[in-house]
Amino acid sequence: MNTTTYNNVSEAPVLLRPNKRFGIEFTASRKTLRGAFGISILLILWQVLPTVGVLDPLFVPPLSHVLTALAQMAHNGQLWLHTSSSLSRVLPGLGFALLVGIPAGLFVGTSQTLRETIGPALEILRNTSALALLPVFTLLLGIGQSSKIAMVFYAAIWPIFLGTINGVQSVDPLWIKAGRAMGLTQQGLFTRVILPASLPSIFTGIRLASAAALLVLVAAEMVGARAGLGYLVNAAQLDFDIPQMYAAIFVLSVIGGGVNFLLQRVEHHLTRWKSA
Amino acid sequence: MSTVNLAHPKLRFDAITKSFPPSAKETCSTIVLDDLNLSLEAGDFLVVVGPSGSGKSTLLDLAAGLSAPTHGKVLLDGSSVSGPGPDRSVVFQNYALFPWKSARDNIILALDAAGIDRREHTAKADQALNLVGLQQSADRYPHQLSGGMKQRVAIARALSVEPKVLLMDEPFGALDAQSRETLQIELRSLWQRTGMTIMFITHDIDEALLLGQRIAILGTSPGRVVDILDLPFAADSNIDTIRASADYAALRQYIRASLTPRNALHNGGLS
Ligand SMILES: Nc1ncnc2c1ncn2[C@@H]1O[C@H](COP(=O)(O)OP(=O)(O)O)[C@@H](O)[C@H]1O
Ligand SMILES: [Mg+2]
Repeated sequence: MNTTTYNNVSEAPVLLRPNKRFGIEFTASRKTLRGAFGISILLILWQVLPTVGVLDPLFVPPLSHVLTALAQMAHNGQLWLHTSSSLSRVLPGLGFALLVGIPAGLFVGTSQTLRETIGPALEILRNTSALALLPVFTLLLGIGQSSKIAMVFYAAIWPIFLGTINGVQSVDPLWIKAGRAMGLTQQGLFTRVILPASLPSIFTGIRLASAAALLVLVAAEMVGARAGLGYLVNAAQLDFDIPQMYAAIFVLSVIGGGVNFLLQRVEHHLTRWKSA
Repeated sequence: MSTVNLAHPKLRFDAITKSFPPSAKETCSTIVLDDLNLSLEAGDFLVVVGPSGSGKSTLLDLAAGLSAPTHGKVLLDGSSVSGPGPDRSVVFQNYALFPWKSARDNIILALDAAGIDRREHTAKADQALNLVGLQQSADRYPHQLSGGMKQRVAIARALSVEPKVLLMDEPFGALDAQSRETLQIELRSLWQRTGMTIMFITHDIDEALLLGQRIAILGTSPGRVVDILDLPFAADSNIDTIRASADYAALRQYIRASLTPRNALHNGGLS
């Protein structure tokens, strides 16, 4: 919480905060260091526990073996093949969900009648697991690329849509009143008050959506695909190539963590005005 | 101080009735203001004092053009008000600053909404901040400001568009006693310096006496003007002089009695 506040102050002219700049960098780097320390512990345990025999190295190979498998896959092109085919499903699915979910949410959020009409239907759809719908998508769209993109889209659109509706709904009526009193037009109110006020909630929706998208993607690839990281995890396990299986899981974690990190940075930048 | 315009008052409420349609639970509509007349001359500092629920905010919203009267008219310089406009600015109790904009950008948004030339924005915003003594805090976001500073920014934002009338709805109600008094003093001196026309709403009798040049007492159910007092304090007197004066206690007592519905009639006038 403190870091956020300091980052905000860093927007002010230097004169106002003669000794805070040091504070920011100090806390930021200490936070990063701590995080790196936590991750190192995890990696060391992964290496040590199987080596000393606490974990069966047959089922949980030490990190070094997994990294060797990873390097091999990177070398022979397997890694890129599977990663790119996963990305080619998740990125369009997520992209469409953004393109549809945000405008739809903004539209529905501003109308109470519309919200009350479709609210219960939305609840049902949202709670229909995308995984349960996997056979339906396969039935409708075949086992090709489009059914997987459609599933990712389905999983991702609800958090985005609902996050946007939620954001619009929670705009403080006083801000609208103040905007109207200033003489903002309907359109001005929308772009200059409602939209910026909803951004934090929209971004929370986007982060939830990207996590849901990856989850569903892996499941879909495990069930019916010839390539992709989900397919690779499953195929490696069937081949009993356990280090390769962990290598694929490792890449999935890195992608998930990386996307989340990036979105957090953008979110932090866009909502740096928030105090807490 | 006030240059009386004989042709038109600056702001006039002409036989205003405001009722709200019945809600789901009620059967008949509520009449909040009933046949209310009130006017402000140019340069007036009129304080409207009334108990909570007497329709003060309703009255101010009508002046701001945020809602329309059921009957009657609000006239600004003689012409009927039909909506919000840059000729009137509002300061609300809870500041109503946009938290995603710095102090300066909050003001710039108001300047932009008022249609003021883009090239003048920064200069005008800084000038307004200067007026309330916050030039140092132009780049701060609202959450980095104290309540008193936020309300100063809100006042600067309201003044930046150079409105004909400043409308203030219990603007100091959410502040601690210390900041409230500071802002009262500042507002009084701002009014003395600029000769603005101000309509100020409060339920605090002391605040009404310290700030106003005239006080309109609003009675409840339905809201109507019970009495209008011209205060005997000189326009350039300061808050301490006012508080210490002999009239102060008597006026305070009188307003208090007027606000208690039963006693209002028996109390006579204050001659
Ligand atoms: N939009 C509205 N719909 C129905 N009743 C309202 C509305 N706004 C205000 N009122 C009613 O009008 C009365 C006066 O409200 P208000 O002007 O806010 O009073 P004050 O500001 O003096 O406390 C209250 O009884 C309130 O319930
Ligand atoms: Mg009120």
